[in-house]
Amino acid sequence: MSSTTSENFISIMVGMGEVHVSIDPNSVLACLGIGSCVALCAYDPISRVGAMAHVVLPTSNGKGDSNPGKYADMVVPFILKEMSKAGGLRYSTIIKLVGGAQVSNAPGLETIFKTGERNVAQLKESLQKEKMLVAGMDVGGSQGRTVRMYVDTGKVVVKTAGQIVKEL
Amino acid sequence: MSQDMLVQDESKLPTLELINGGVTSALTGLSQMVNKELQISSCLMKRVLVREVPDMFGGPEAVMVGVYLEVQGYASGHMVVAYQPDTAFNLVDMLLGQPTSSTQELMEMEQSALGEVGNIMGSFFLNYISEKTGIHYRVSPPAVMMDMAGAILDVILSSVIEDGEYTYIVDATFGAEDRSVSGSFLVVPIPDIPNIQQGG
Repeated sequence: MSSTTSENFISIMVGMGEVHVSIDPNSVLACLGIGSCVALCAYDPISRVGAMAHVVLPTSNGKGDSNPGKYADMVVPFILKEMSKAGGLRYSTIIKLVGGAQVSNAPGLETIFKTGERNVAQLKESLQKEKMLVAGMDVGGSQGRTVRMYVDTGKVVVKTAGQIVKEL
Repeated sequence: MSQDMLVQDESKLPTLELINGGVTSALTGLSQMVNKELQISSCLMKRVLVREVPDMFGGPEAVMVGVYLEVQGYASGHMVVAYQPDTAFNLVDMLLGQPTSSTQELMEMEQSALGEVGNIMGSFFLNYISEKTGIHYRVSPPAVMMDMAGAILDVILSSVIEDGEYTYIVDATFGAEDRSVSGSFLVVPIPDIPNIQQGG
């Protein structure tokens, strides 16, 4: 994780496999240039606790204990627990998913480039298991994305390489 | 059966001389295609934090053109030939015999031309390593992408980071004297070479 400051906001970069929770209303959680990875954005508007995970792979295959943020099958309970420690309330937490692109459809490499699709599918399954609804998604497609979540409001903004910016 | 390339110790790393020879061989392939003399600007083998690899290309949001090749055979791994978009367009013009600045985007024909370059470079690199070590590697068909560096590299880094936060990589940059062609050649992770004589 690293951070930069601009326009009175402190940007907190959430790197591959990392989970970051913030209660600072001046902070913006960000995953930059994600392709097959998925940004799991969680926000509780009551306590104003925000969290972001940069999920890398669908399943841990028994490797995930030391770093549950990497894996779609382990990250959901972990992020909810971390939010709870910061005062977040599970019942009012809003979940949004961004990423999971397939940046190439080159023949012969389908398996490796379908990681994004598998990440999204596993995250949806894990969220369902925890009885968490998904309030918004910008997933799939063939383009990389940058996602930012503003901790003061929970606003999620997505940008692609073509500079298309949209609020989720 | 292919073994995991990621579990490495330093004693199994190839020599820099061997890697340099492989990169020189890869550039020979590209030189022949564009009819220009190309030089290695730098060629490093280094241990890096996986999540910081996109910073080597201007950061995860910087737009680049990448030709991805999967390494198959004795061990599995990944190679990427990366260019700034303008350089990639210029290279396509050279390859297709078009006036400079004709290419402004990567359609099927342009992707095919760049894919061929990546394929030649990757094959020349691995053939050199195979010839010198007797270990057989081969490359997959190329995938050509123009996107944010982080998005292009996700596929590589996600498989590498599964086994650890750090990895060994080959990072080579190259160019022509008139700067018409320049780029980076990335091998992640460095192929394991078992305890045999490494010719240089």
